[in-house]
Amino acid sequence: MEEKHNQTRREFLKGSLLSGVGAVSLAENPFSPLLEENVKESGEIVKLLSDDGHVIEIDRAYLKPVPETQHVHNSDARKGIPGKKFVMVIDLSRCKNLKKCQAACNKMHFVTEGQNWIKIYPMQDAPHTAPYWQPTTCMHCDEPPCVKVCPVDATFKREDGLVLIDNERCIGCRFCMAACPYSTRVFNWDEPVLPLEVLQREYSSETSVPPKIGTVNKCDFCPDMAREGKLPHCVSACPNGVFFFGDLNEDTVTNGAETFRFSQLIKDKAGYRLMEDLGTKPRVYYLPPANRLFPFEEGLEEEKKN
Amino acid sequence: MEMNSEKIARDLMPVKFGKAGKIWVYILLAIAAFGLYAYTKQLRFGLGITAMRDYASWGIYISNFVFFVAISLVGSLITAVLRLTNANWSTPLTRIAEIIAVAAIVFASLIIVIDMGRPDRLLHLFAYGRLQSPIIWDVIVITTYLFISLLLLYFPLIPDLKIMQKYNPPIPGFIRKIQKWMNPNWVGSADQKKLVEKAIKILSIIIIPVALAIHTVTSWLFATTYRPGWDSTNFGAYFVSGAFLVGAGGVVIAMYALRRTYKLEDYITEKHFDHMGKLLVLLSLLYLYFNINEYLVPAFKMKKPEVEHLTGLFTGDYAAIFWPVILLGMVIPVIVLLFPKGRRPVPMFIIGILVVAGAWFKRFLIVTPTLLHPFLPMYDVPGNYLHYSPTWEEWSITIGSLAGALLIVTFFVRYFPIVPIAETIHERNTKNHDQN
Amino acid sequence: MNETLRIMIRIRKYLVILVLIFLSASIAMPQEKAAVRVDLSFHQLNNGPPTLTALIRTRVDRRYQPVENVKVKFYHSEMDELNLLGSLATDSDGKANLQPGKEFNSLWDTTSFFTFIASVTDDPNFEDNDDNIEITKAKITIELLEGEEKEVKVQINKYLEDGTIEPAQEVFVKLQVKRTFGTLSIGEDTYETDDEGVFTASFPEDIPGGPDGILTIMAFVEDDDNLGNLKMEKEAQWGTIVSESDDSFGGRSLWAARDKAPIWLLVFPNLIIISIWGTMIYLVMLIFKIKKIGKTP
Repeated sequence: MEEKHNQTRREFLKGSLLSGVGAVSLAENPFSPLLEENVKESGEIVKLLSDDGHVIEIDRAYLKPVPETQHVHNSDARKGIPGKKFVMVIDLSRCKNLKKCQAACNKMHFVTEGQNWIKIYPMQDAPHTAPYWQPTTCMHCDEPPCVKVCPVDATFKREDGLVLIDNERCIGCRFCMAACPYSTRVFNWDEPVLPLEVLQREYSSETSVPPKIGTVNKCDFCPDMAREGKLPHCVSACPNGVFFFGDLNEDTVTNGAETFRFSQLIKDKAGYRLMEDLGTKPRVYYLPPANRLFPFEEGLEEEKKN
Repeated sequence: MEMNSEKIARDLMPVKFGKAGKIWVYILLAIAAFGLYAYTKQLRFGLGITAMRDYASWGIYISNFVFFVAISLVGSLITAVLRLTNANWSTPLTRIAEIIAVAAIVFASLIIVIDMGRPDRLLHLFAYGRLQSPIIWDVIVITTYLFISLLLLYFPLIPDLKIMQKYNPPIPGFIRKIQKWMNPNWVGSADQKKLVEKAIKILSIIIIPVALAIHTVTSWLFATTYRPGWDSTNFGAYFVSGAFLVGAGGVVIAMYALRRTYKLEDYITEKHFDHMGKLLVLLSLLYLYFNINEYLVPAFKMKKPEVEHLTGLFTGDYAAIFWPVILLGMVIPVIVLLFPKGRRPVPMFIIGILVVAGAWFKRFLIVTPTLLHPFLPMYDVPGNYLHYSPTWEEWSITIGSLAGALLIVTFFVRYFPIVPIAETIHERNTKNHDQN
Repeated sequence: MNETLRIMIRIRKYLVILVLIFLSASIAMPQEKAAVRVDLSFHQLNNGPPTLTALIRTRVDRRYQPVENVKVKFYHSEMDELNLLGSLATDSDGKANLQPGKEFNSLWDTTSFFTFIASVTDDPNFEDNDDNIEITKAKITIELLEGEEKEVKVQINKYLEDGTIEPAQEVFVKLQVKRTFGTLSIGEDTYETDDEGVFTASFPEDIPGGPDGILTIMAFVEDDDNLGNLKMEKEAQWGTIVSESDDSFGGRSLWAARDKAPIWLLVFPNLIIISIWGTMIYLVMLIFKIKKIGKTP
């Protein structure tokens, strides 16, 4: 009985701690002694940790719920995060086809079962050349063929380098899917199956959630995470540190554990881009599969597991 | 044979549907209704009821669209080009060509809306349209071409409206009212005649570049991408030549069907079939020439992304469609129609069907196989993404749209003279005067 | 007779008690609990108040995984309720970050050597475990020197028992620059403080610094055995200026928004459309002209 009570209290504490932490926007401090006078107390007491390490009790009415992510309205999402030029580097010598990146991305963006925003291809450029696993995201090209052909400005290029999709504008003509040479776009052929809470979220092209039937979706480089200073989900999910992400203006990319100067990394490891000669100017660079961490065959075993 | 105006007018007046006509209409209505039902299913459940998926993201809706746009060029070919080159034999065929063109363009627009994932957002095209997009160019030219075709259908019709009022064919009251409203006080005066001639001449001139534009721009929906089979500088001319061919084939089918049904042997004569036959030979050879360029040249090089695509067409999954299309749709017509006996009405009718059917399947070969041969491997997708086999819903909607277009033509023939009366009279009189 | 009976009763009583003890012991015996690993670390930023971080991990499939929602108690000096600094549950990364409260301040200000303990006790799922670290209070300073070339001078001093300061020698320090995601290492992998507790490193000239060239330079003592983790930040305009003059995203192009279509695309199509539609409008007017002619007798 005592254990259960502790558990309940712990969960309550944790839940309220998280909601408290999440709920406190930087400007407001719900623990401030200058509590608003005209707030009607609900009678429900919430336990929170104050910033000097004490557990305090406060009426829930004083907490101002703010969505956990810094929310950008769909109309503002076309501008881009100022001063940034996002870039990604994928190290092919480390990829073992674990598909953790795929799982994380699919989960966080509620991608339909069977579809993947990140596809991991088994590649072999020519006979006798090295086989390798190639995780392929959207390239967020600087001269994006998909954006060129969109008739209604539903997919657009932002100042921070990202190519996003506005699912409230898209008419579902699928010209962008025909135009993309990297086969990176997926289409919501059927009504997406989503939890109620997700369906009720306010849509933003920065989160690409909730997905909408009859429109296109693709990797978005997780700008909602970038606004919080966090790396995209695929980058954090990879146990081998295959994905590096960063800002070209800062000339820095990181996989969470290691940080490099981007220009140095590409030069040292002979980075390249996919289908360079098409002139799309992709923002994803690949490091060749030299000095591999794992032999290609280990990736095949991972394939069998799934 | 001496033909006076009155006989001509009576011969060409619209008549009620005979038994065959009624069966024809009922069948078309049934097919169209079934297509409509399938479409309501699509509206409810989304495009998932089709067989299209992330790789084959464009299917028979789009190849049907291209087919419709192609056939619509017949208006400019028969009506405009032949008119401008003073090929007077074409006069009886001009209205058939124009109504086929109008029906085709109307259904091209409809089938495109059917293909959209969010038809509820159709107005976005106009509210948020980007001039950089080839789709917007296509919307502009298709709309323009529709209005030019309607005008080119209308102006030569004006004198015939007056003639119809005189001879009182069996036409329902409300249609007759519409026809009366359509008539701009035609009295046949010299001034009016001059204006109509002027209008027709201007239309014949401007419709040609617009017709070329409509199918060139449609071809650019494919040629502006990087994909094998589409990444060709040749696509505009290739599509336009194909369009002329299928349009001519369509006219031949209509010629035969109408001639037999309405006993128009005096107006759509064996000479007309002979002329159209020679035209078909020319157009088939022209299209064959472009096909050789489109396939032989890349096959010579066999660039890596194109290898799978070309072998798929020549010897692989699509060979069973590719070779019949080439042989039956282009080669056999040339061979048969080189002989005068081949240019008789019945063989022409069969060849016309081969040409049109071949053209429909050719458009499919242009659209979907390329999408199933992408640059990167088809991977990390469900198994059914790797193939495309249209569902019964897709077929019924597609065939329903064809039925709809035929219904437009059929009902037009029912309520309007399908062979231009005034122009035929004028022509016969001129010929008689020349002969005398 | 009475004697034997009394003994029998006593034996039976002991037996019952024994059985009861055994039974209660077996009932009270806890279920199999998993083992956890507790790693305690000490962090201090800009010589401010200290933070204790406990990382709780458990072994799953030959790998350590962080554990969420485990209550960790932090103590100083010894594991006693009086010395409890605070109690926190771990987050989704398995970390519990505690900033000791105001009561700790007086102790922190007056002492130079600390023992910190983090313990997991009475957790329903995990065995008890704890970790302790011994920390010497230290102070880290950064001086930015702009002579012929840019140099960073880092000084580390540690506190002695009597409260005085002494240079901390042979401490390994990393030089970093703060970036959008994480930090970028500068110069050599690590620098070592000399006998004076100082090292000077040259600062590269080519680090991009945003539109105003401002960088946040950091000296970072990582996981020193005695000093813990010390971080010191300082801002300077030592970065290269990255201007937004690269306007390929703002100009007219085929991939821009509708209002930034290329000029030729605005001019020619519109010219063509206007001329064709103008002609058509003229033709429609001809219809009205025909109508007018027909009206006049």
